[in-house]
Amino acid sequence: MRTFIANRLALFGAAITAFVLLAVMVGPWLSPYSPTEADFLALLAPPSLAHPFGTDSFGRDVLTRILYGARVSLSVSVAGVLMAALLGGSAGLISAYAGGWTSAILMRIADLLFSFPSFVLALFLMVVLGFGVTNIAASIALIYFPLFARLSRNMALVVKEEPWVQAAQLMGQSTFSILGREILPNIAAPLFVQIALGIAFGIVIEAGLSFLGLGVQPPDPSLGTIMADGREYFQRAPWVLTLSGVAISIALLGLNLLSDGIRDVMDPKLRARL
Amino acid sequence: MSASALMQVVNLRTAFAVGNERVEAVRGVSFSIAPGEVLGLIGESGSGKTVTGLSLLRLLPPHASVTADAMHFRGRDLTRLSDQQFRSLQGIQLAMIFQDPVGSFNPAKTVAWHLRHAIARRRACAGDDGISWREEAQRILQDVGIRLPERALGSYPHQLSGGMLQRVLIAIIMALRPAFIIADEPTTNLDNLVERQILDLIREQQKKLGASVLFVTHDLAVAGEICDRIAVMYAGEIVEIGPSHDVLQRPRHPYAQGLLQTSVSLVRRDEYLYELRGEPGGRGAAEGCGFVERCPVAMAMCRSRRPSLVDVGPGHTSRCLLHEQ
Amino acid sequence: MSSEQRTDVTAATLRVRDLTLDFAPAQRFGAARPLRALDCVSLDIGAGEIVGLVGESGSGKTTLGKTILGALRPTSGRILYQGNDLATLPPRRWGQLRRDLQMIFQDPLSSFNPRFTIESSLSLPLRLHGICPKERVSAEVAALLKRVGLGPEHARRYPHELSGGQLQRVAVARAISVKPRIVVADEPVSKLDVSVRAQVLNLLKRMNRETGVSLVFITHDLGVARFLCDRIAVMYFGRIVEIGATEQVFSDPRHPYTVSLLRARSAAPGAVVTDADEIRFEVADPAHACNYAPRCGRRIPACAQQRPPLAAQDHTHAAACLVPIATACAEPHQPIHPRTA
Repeated sequence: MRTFIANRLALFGAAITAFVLLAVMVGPWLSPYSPTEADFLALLAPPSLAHPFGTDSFGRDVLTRILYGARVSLSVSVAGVLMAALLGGSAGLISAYAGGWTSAILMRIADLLFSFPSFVLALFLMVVLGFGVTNIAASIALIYFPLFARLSRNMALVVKEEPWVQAAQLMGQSTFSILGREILPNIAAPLFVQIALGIAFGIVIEAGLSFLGLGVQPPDPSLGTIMADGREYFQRAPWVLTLSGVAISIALLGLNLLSDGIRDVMDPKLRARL
Repeated sequence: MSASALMQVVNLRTAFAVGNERVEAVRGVSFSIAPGEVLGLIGESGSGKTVTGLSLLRLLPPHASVTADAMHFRGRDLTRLSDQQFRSLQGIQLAMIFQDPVGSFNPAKTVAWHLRHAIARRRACAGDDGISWREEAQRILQDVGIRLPERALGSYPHQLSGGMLQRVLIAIIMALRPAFIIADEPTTNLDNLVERQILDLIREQQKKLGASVLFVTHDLAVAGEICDRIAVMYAGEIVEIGPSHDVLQRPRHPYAQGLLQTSVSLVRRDEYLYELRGEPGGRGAAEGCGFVERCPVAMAMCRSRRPSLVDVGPGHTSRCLLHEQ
Repeated sequence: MSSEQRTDVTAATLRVRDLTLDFAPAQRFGAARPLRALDCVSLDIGAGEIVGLVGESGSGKTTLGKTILGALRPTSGRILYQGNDLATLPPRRWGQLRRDLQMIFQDPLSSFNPRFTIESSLSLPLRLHGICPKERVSAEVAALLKRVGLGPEHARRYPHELSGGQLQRVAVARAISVKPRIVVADEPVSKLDVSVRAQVLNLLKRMNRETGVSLVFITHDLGVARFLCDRIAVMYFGRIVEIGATEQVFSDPRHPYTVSLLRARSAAPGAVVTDADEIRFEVADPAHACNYAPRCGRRIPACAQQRPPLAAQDHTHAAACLVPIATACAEPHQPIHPRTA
């Protein structure tokens, strides 16, 4: 913990992420505007005191839309990545311990999913599963499943050979206990780093899908749809696209720095002392 | 400290910056080694024995600070040399045999490559003897007991066993004909029989070259065989130093005595072994004796007064307040 | 078979018979042959006795220890214990037997899960095997720590906060907490500092004397083996080459390899009668020969033609050699003690 606090960038990342989370959770309630109702009296208004981020082509307050949109993006991304971590992590863990056919099958599934470029896979899944937010989460889960599976399997393979695992086997501990107590806690750290990174990338995927119109449907806001709108009238009202882009970047920055920080904290523990 | 010493070290101090702390691994070590002499450095983990060797050869990472009142090699003050000047000595006149031979080799290169470079390096300074490097390499390998030098030359490090690698390493070092060798636990990782052979080899080569050796080990028996003089280290200091026979058979410092007692009770097959209580590796206390926590004969003043080395025999000193009684 | 052990068969707690273990071949050029780690090994472990498995690396001593515990599956052979053959017993049938056979590992730090406290690591086996009621577990942990010479404050610590010697004592505590019949200790002191080894060795001896647990002590250090063990089995590349009461093996060694090992620790230089070690990619010896012959100064033609059986030299002493060292005073044995040249 102490190391984390000492690492300024990590702290910065954590702060940004916390800020984003707070804004996303509390912001929408605080806002006097509705994210979907139009206000034709204030179309494409530039940033002002009343509308800090300006309004879009329907007169909707951009800031409010960004906050609502971010909420959607984050929830979808978090849901998808956590699902991937859970399923992929377990698959990798079991594969490493069981070996044999189980391992072979699980890993081939992972390889199959892994062989597609993520966005292409996402597009494909959206077409197959249909549009909508839940399916975005499912796509993100499928995209990230192989990463977690591989990561958890590789680490579990190493930890499996450690004497304390053998000691547990000799003591007669159940397989479940060995997986959950002896192996899992010792491979968790890099998984958490990947979760943070995954959420960041998941936001990008969701934004991309929504930008293309495959995700969140208008008038519901999503960072992607806001950017799609903003792109259309960029010449007249550059603030919409710009500010929503900046919002995404800030969120990503925060998550990336945070994940770096987690990794740095975990890393020194692995390094031998002189 | 004699003027004819090959290597003379006075008050060596090595500290590491660990986080916000400063940890002193070596706290004022002094010794001298005559030409052709083997000095043993005995200690356990935390004693500072390995760091001492690494400090002499400037092999420590940048966050280590090494200071000494004097570090004289063949009359030259090593502390005054720049890194570049020191590098011209490293490996040629000052050599090191590491505990794990594997790390000393480039795994992608054959033994021949390593030997060729070593020989070339020496020849750059000292000229050749008129024979090809390959001939010289074969001769050296045979010298260290490798019957089929051609085969060894063509091998990669991973194809050789630990014992063989250690032999080759010794061969490479001998190719450089150094004047001073630090051997850091060179046989600890080896099996019993191989250990015996390598020890014999080291002794034989050392006599041949007339090199001085600083032999770092935790094994009393090994030290007893190969060393002329022995220094026992504890918590970063030398606590006893003297002729090998005296230090091992009639140690004066309670720590050395404890080690001997354990060894003796082992040989005698007592029902239970003599035990020294506590653990080594404690940071030497700022005040008082570094051994006080484990010392079976500690007195009250041992916590507040730090002992210095006092004479306890011809060429034999020990660091204990008991001697000053 | 009967020539190997003259101990009273009913007293033997665990009997190993003709145990062979082959490891699948590594991906090496031209080496299609599996690695034979154990080659037809037979051994008895009696109740309350300390048996030493002595040898160098590659001798198979660790493999034998792990196979006895069921951590490795042998290729063939039997391990007879309480009416079961552990070599072929399926994992789910082990049940209570797991309590009886425990292990102490060479590196204490990696034998404990770094994420859990000592308390947690010690209470798990107690709860798992119902050694004591739940309310008493904490007290039992403290009592165990006390028995191995540690205070209750150590329970709260994490493995990396303890020293090697302390951790190894916790390992002993863990092993005996389930009241085992046999404990296999795999080089338990070789990674510890010299001044700490005595503590752990004394502890092991005390445990054996107080609880009567049998100990299989694996080591390459002959001096330590001599101190601790009642009987010693000398191993060389998967085979037991000599076995007998400790004092007999030390004062009256019969196998040339044993003699070499003993001389290696003596003060006399050049005493070892072997060739320089071969380069690793030499082919291993075939099954029908003495595997020590290539390095042996006493070999005769017959040594290359048959595998020498473990022949009885005496009631409790056997050696696998066609030309064993016959006389009782092979060499005035040098003490294992620091001597100057």
